[in-house]
Amino acid sequence: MDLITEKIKKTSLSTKQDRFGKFISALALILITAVVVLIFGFVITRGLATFTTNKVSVSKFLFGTNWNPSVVDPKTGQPGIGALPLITGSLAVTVLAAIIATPFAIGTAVFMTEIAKKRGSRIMQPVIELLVGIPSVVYGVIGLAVVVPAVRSIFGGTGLGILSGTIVLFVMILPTITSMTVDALKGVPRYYRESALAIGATRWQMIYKVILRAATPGILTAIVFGMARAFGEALAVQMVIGNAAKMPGSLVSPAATLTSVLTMGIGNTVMGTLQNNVLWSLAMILLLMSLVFNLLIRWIGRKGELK
Amino acid sequence: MTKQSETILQTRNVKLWYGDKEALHGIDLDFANKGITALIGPSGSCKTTYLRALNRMHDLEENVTVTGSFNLLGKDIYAPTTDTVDLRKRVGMVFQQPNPFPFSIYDNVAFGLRLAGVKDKKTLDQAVEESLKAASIWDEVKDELNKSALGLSGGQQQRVSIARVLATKPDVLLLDEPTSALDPVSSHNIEETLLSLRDQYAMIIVTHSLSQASRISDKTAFFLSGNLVEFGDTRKIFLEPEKKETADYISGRFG
Repeated sequence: MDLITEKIKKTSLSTKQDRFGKFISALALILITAVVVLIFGFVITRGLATFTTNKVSVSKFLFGTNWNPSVVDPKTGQPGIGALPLITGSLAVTVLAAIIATPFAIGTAVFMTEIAKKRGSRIMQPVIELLVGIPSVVYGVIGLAVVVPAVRSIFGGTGLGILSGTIVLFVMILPTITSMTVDALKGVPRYYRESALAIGATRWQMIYKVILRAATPGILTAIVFGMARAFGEALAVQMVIGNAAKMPGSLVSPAATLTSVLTMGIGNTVMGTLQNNVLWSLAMILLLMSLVFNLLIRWIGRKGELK
Repeated sequence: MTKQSETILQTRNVKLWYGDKEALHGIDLDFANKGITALIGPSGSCKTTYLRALNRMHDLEENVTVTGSFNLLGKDIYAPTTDTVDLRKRVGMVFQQPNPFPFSIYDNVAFGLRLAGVKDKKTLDQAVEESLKAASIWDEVKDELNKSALGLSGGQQQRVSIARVLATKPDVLLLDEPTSALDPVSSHNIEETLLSLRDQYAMIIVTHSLSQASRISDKTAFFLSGNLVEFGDTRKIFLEPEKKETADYISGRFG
């Protein structure tokens, strides 16, 4: 065999490196997929045990208002496993925090991208990045030291409750929504700005009639991301919400969320008991909700493509 | 041109700096209230820069200084009292890239009027129809006014952009290479549109296509490195230019 044929038949070094690279990436992908699938499988099998092993009805779990798994309710003869107060608490703090944070986030983002570009990128950008990186326990401590006493002195009561939780979450998700809104606004092509001005729009008209409208899908995605973060936040909320698992009567009476009950309870129950299983059911709800948020973001992204 | 028309826009000694670099070196040009003036010249000759100075688009950028006199119907464009919003309504601009907003065709054309506060449905309907007709695109889109303008072809989008500007009834129409991103058929349609409008508007078009300039313009101004080399009737510029640079550029010897 001559030299050239031999050379061609042999696998070259670069091909080998190429294959090795593909192998490593495939391995990483398989690992991550496996982890996700296992988490889902684990949480769902555990979470379903409440309904299969302990024979709790799904509607009683989702719509029951009495949450007290360790005590048997004398009326029904069953432990209190109604998760509605927790679901309500979680949804309330999430939605309220998003409603309050959105106008601030859009205002900040518009200021950073349209009004004071230089100051925006030099001062605001680092501030927002810093806010994203602050550990949630710090927000919780500040909430407990500042927000709760403030709410107490204004509205009376203990100060613990949905309102305090909302305020703490609002501060936490504000930077998330802001930075994603900034990206959405930066993605609006320059020629939209120019042509809006060129037919006699004021700067403000250009911003709210063209730029915000063109960036709406991106802004919605930002809000949903913020909500996903608020919904899953456990520590900071737990510190200020009061952890009373009953239907919230007002915004300033103690309440509880799915996450706060989960973190408080999981260490104090025995594996395999009803008390433990219902906590897994809560985790399942959280997981499914995050899936819903994820699908929502994708759906908005697809719907919102400029066409 | 038999009848001498009025001057609508007159610029004298227009200079423009990017930072401390002088880009325009004193441009004197007069524009009639009707007809098409073509600005030609090689890339980097600052003809677009000059065009954008006419409706103060440079205000959007930092580090740009403009001096000289710009007289639009007796008013100085750069006077501190000039309302840029009002100015840009009167001096409309069509850009190189067809750039309708991501709204419906109707909303695109009605945009300028709505900005000005027009809410009456009938007035808007009528203005949208008139503008789309003036931009010679009415017949193609009249049944799909509520569809997104981004679904149209490039040439159609550009004519919607023109309709959008026409809807605000400007006095002067600035066109920055409006056909350079389009195929020859679409370009031809745009040219037809412009020709149909030449009796109603003063139009100033920047173009890299010499044949386009010779086909549609009444007057031609030749720019070179930030200087106005020659300005006159298009026929004269193309057939018997006075300056050697003009002759060289027209005949393709440099540029």
